[in-house]
Amino acid sequence: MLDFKTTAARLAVEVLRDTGAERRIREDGYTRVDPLWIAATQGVMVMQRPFEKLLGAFVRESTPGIMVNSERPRGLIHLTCAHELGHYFLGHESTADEHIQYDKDSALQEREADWFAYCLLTSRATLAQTLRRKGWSINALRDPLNLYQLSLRIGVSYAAMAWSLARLKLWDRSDADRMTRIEPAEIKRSILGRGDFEARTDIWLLDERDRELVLEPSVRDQVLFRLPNHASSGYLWSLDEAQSEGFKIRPLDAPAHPAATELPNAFNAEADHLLAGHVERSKFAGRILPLSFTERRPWEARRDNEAHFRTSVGFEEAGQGLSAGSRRRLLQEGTSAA
Amino acid sequence: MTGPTKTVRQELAERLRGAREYLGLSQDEVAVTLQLPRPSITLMESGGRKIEATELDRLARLYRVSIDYLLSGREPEDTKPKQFAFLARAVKGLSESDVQEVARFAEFLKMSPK
Repeated sequence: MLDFKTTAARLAVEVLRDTGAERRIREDGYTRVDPLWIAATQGVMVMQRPFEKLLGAFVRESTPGIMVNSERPRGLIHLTCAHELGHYFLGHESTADEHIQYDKDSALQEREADWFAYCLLTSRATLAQTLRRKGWSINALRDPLNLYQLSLRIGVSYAAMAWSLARLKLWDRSDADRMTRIEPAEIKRSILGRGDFEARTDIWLLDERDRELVLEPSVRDQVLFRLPNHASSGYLWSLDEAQSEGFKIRPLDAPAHPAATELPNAFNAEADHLLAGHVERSKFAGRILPLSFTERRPWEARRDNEAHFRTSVGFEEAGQGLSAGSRRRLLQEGTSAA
Repeated sequence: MTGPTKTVRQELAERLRGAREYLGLSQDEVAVTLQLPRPSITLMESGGRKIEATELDRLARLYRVSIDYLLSGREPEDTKPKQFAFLARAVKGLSESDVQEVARFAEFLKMSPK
């Protein structure tokens, strides 16, 4: 292994351990390493702005800062932020990136930052958590649907996910090459059974294996539930709890804007159900909200036969301005100065 | 024709709104942080209320801009060309608006408490 790779990889391991990013995945149910969260732990300000050409920049001032292009897909924003964090942790000076994923003829600094970013976001340990929770083998990732769902939980693009598996030598470069010939748009269409979604919208498919997690879709994304179906023995999934938490959930086939009275309060899981939003829009972004369903026979008063599906969603903001962590710090400092 | 006084207040109001929106802060968050009633922020940003010198000072510190910028719109005279040599090194055919974006953020970082 080349020397710069060893340095960057070791540093990434230290950062994962010392910031607690690894512990969040192991113990708190998070599925991904969040570079914006890591930046906040270091007092590095993160700003999302629309750029014409740049993908990101690292600015070393008395307070260091990272800029990322807000108009790029979330996966690319995460990887860019991780790359800029590489510049920060590796002690590099201010720099700007028109692209990331530098080739072997590029400046050593950039290759170092790239390697750090991959080691930070797509480590074996991080991937292994999701594989274990979902019951997937490496072979199961040859199904584009699984690879796509893994990429969402890791927080990188579908293509970056495929190449990460090759980088980790979990499969061959030819496998990654073959998998990336499939367009994510095709996979999304196959999940929804239709194509009426924006290009940047990702489609999350949640099943019974996604219990007790903190899933972090973007506010733009669509979240679909596919829970085990025991309707033949009279069991239905009750939506009461989720609705009382403020979530709006409707069958996938229902029209996008049904009258409020048409919303069902139970579903038999034969059809996929779609998380359509939250009654309080301000609560939707940047907060971790518990989401639970109970499976019961509607006519039974006794509760001992109930099954539960509980998980949490923390919708990631998509837009311009400081990251949630940076805003929190700014306001805290503002309070103490006032 | 609007009087000169009104124009100045209007421009100040717009810069206050712009500075807040740039950071992605809500009026509520600013009001809570500065312990001001929410409507006063709305009024300051619409030019519908006079702003006390102490309030302006606290807003400038929260948004990490200079009072001079809020009052006059003048960007601080900076060593821009030297400062951003790294941009020219890193990117070929720089976009002027990208340079502006990085410059503005660098200015914000410099104004942060040490």
